[in-house]
Amino acid sequence: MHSILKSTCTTFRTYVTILQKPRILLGLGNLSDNPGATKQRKRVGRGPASGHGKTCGRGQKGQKARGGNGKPRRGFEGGQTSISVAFPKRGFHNRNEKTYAPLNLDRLQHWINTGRIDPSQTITMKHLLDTRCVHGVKDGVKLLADGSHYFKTPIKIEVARASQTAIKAIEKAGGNITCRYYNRLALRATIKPEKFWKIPKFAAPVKAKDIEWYSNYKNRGYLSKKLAGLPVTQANAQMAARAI
Amino acid sequence: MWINKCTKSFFRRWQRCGFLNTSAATKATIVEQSLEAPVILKALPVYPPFLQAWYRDFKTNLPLGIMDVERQVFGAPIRKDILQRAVIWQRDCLRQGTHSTKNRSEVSGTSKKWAPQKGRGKARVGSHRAPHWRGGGVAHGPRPRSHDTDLPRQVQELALRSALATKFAQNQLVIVQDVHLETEKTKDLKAILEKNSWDPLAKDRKQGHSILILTKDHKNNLDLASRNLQKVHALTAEEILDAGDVYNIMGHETLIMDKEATEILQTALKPK
Repeated sequence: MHSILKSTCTTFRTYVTILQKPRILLGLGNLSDNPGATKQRKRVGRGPASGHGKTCGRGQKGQKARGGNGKPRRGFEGGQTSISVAFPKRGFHNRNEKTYAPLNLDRLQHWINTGRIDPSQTITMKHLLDTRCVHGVKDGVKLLADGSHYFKTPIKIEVARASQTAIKAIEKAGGNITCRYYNRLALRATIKPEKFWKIPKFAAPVKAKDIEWYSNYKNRGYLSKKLAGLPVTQANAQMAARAI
Repeated sequence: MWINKCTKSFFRRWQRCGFLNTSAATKATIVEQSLEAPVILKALPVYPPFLQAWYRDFKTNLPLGIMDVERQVFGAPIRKDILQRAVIWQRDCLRQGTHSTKNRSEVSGTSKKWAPQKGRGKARVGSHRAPHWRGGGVAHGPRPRSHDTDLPRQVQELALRSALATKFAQNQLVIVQDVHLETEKTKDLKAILEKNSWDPLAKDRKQGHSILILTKDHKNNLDLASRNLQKVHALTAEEILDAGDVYNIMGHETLIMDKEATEILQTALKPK
């Protein structure tokens, strides 16, 4: 098709590519919404002529004519001692709690062996979740070392946390691991990048504990200077493993 | 039988026009060979997926050739209402929102009881700074606040597509090969615009245009040269996309884009 168009239409545009103009030249001056798309606000208590004057459309006296929503406050049980007053508070909510989805090395090896995960490229939490290798990623994925003696494939992986034995096992197999801090937004952008118009900048940790953990080379934290400076080779990995 | 005849002639006509791709054409031949087989008529897009647009030389305005642009972007339906919504949303976000008045606790002056409660033979009064007093505070006055509203991302994209399509249909869109200026002199840029009858300062206003020039990156010469021309603005395609900037596209009469900017806009705005 294009060859035909190009051969015949070197000097003229074809008719089908010329669009119909709007009836009036559109500019900022004559834009308007569809009729009926917006509604005027009801202004109550502004005199009898408005139709919403004296009682503001609320009828005569009573609970519904009073201020508020016409309902008592939430948890009010009509004057009876409410349940929140009758019983004492118990337990507490840990604000710093993090729930990591566990991933053991034998499972990861099985996923690689069955061809569900491609070990040639960097494995992120997106790949793990997409292939259903992990479930319920709340605050990230933590790599654990169950069945580490089965683990033989050299991989490059990026997760939220990893145990010391898991790090050892991966590097023994000639692989490479980085633990990266993810806040809620960064985690969502990693797992579901298709939901984002633009991938946001990933935030650095703010809490002192997190900064310390992710700056430690022992944890293969992404902030550690040693990790940043070292070129990723097998020799380096072995050296690092010895350091542990 | 007449159905077969019709389809055959229909396909032949489309083939002649060049609107059939090869797979559809082979399908048509299959239909021709086996007359007994059930005729499957498939809906084909009526228009080719691309529009043709001239691209020109920026300095001389001479057409250099024809390029294909996405029909889904530059031939999108012109939605006046969506454009309006996008412009309102954008201008809401631009509002400074620093309007402020003083309420009865902020107005200077004492809050002392102005007159005794009883025995005066007049109405009881309290503070002299109550809203119904002269010099009193303002009741329910404006306070500094954000006027931002939300517009769904997909509506923003639709509005941008619609704005580009409007400019294309109204012949207000000029695609140029490259916006390249040797100097940063405003005089030189103005001479080019004048020569190409895009003159922003023309007196008769027949050709006096406000001009928006879109490029891929900011060009130093262009930025400096257009800085002192009131009706000429230079932005990048990225800036337009990031801000959902329908206001600037519709607010300038002529939209000049280089080929790179066109490419960026149509890849980003093409419906997925």
